[in-house]
Amino acid sequence: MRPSPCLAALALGCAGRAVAADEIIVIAGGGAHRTAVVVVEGVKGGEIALEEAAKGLDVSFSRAGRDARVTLKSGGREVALENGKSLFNVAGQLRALASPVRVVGDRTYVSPPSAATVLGAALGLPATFRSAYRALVIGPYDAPRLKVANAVTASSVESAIELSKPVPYDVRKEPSRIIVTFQADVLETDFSMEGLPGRIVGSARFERSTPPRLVFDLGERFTAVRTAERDPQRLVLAFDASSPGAQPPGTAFGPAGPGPRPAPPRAGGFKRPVVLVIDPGHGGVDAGARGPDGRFEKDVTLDLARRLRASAADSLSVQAFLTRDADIDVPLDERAAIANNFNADIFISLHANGSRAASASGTEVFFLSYSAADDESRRIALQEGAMPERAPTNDKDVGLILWDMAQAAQLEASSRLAGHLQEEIEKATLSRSRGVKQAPFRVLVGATMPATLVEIGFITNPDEEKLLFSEAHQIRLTDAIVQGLARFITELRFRP
Amino acid sequence: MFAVPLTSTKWSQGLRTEIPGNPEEEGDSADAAVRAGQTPEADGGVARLKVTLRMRVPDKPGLVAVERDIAYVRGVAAQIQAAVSELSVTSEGAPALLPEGTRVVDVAFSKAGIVYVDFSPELEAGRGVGTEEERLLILGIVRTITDNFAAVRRVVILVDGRAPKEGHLDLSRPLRRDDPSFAEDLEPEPDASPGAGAVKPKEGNAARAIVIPTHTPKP
Repeated sequence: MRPSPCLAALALGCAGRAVAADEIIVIAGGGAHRTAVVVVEGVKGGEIALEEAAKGLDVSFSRAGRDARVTLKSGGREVALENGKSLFNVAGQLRALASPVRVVGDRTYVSPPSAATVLGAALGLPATFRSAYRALVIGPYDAPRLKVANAVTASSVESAIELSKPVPYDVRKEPSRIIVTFQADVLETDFSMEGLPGRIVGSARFERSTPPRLVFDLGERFTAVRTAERDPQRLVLAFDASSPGAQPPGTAFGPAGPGPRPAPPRAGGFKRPVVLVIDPGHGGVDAGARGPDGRFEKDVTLDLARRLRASAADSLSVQAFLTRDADIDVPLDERAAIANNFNADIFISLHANGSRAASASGTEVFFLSYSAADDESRRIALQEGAMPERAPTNDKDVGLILWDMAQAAQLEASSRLAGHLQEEIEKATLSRSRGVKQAPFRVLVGATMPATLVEIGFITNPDEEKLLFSEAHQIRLTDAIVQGLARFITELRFRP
Repeated sequence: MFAVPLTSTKWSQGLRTEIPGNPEEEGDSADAAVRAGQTPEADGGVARLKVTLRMRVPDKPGLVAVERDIAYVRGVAAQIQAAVSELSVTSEGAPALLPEGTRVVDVAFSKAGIVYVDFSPELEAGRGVGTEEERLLILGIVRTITDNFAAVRRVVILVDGRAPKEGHLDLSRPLRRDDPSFAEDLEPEPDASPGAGAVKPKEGNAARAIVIPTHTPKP
């Protein structure tokens, strides 16, 4: 049995990984461990070995009758099981299990609910199997409790999420919903589903899954989500709506239009805060480029994106969001779609560069290369039959908001943004400037707002790899990008 | 209009059959070398073609123009295939442009001036190294083709007969020679190359054309 990653963290809710489909978590006596589930034909939900499940508990096992009889003893109580029988004996009384006991080698297999019955009887404690959480809970267990209170006004919905004890959580934004995932093995709540009036948040529901999560389905008037309060036991999410009349309802999740969407009305004094969406490149199984010291692009882009979010929110009073706030996969096309859904004013994708030439170094800022003739030639290529249509990257409703070549309408602004960013990065860091460039980056293609891709340095260059992961350099880069953004936002505000 | 099943390994045949005997595109006397201002050179009785490749050389992060003699083959598509295949050969110890094991499976040239180059899946490996590596890979392929074959207007890169899925760059549109993506980080082209002058030499990038008359193909 491997050591439990959760034992120490249990009091805070388990901060370890989610319980996999082929294992359950056993929570007992202030500790927790995982045990494997064996798939057995005809037994729904599989079986677990009692000896494994009882690891660390005050239960002893003994065998008799050529191993056909198994006896569990604990504090004077005795439970006797027999191979192939679904009845078992507790202090002279027969009780029934859902399926027969199987003794294989030195292990005694029963279904997880039966394990709760047997171990509970042996220990003289209440025991239950919580199938939604795949958790076998033996004895008293003070699971964290979740309360959700929603306050709805004409222009916003505020959801206050309170936890009875600190539980690590993360908030993920998807095109049509916001998901709060809790790193807890079990989360108790009375909250299950609430339909919220209006079209900002359609509904909120609690999913008893591993890990448990709260899901907010966004409505057509939704424009942005803010974290109004955030501490280990309380999270307040504020969902904002487009102000009536400012733009047609449904902009954020409007139907797909042919060709680029006209730029939404942003000029004219900014009635709302500027929305910045930062895209930390790569993530999850896609580690991006790798440095000679073995460090990954996906990690430095997330570090820098978090710094940039905090710094931009503080010093520019913008609303800043990340396309991912964890080490997770986000499809390329979905990243621009997230920015579109937030009705963002600026989209910045952060990447660390990679080359097989270890000497390659420097920073550069890209915007999209595009000409209308590209579309015509693509049409011809499609007609010629050898060029497949680009396959949708996922089955979500990204297609509704990711217009092909939406970025074409933003090239002039994107080039100015790229220029400001590169100039400031050049000034603030000693890195070699490779200048402003254009390339057909997939992550930029569908963005409906000024969008750039910043290459913060070559992670494949040994010196730059060290630099990229140093706090001082990350702060310099962050400050430089904030300066570049400040110049661009000033232009946005004062442009006719 | 016609359609070629994408699952067909012979999709390129379908494209070829659309342009039978079109002297502008593919014909006995109109091969690329001639139109590009080159003539097959006899070398000990064996005809050779001079092509300008975009390759890596040691101590240079970007690509440089490298002249190579390759065995003469007949037909534009075959010549393009031969020229692009040459990108898997290393130059002076620098890594080859094409990732190891990459083969040019097939090439087709349509009457719209679009060349379709179908690579083996190994090509994708080169795109995982990083943005710059991927950009150079695409740039090297596009420029090697468009520099040597003036009739090519656009290049479509395929992997296993399909648009590549991996990578930073959107390859779902045919790539054009004058795309700004491909106009930087290149050494000035040799005079013999068509379209010379389209690339402005960058400061600090001294002209460097290397002529390697003989080479050893990768086993």
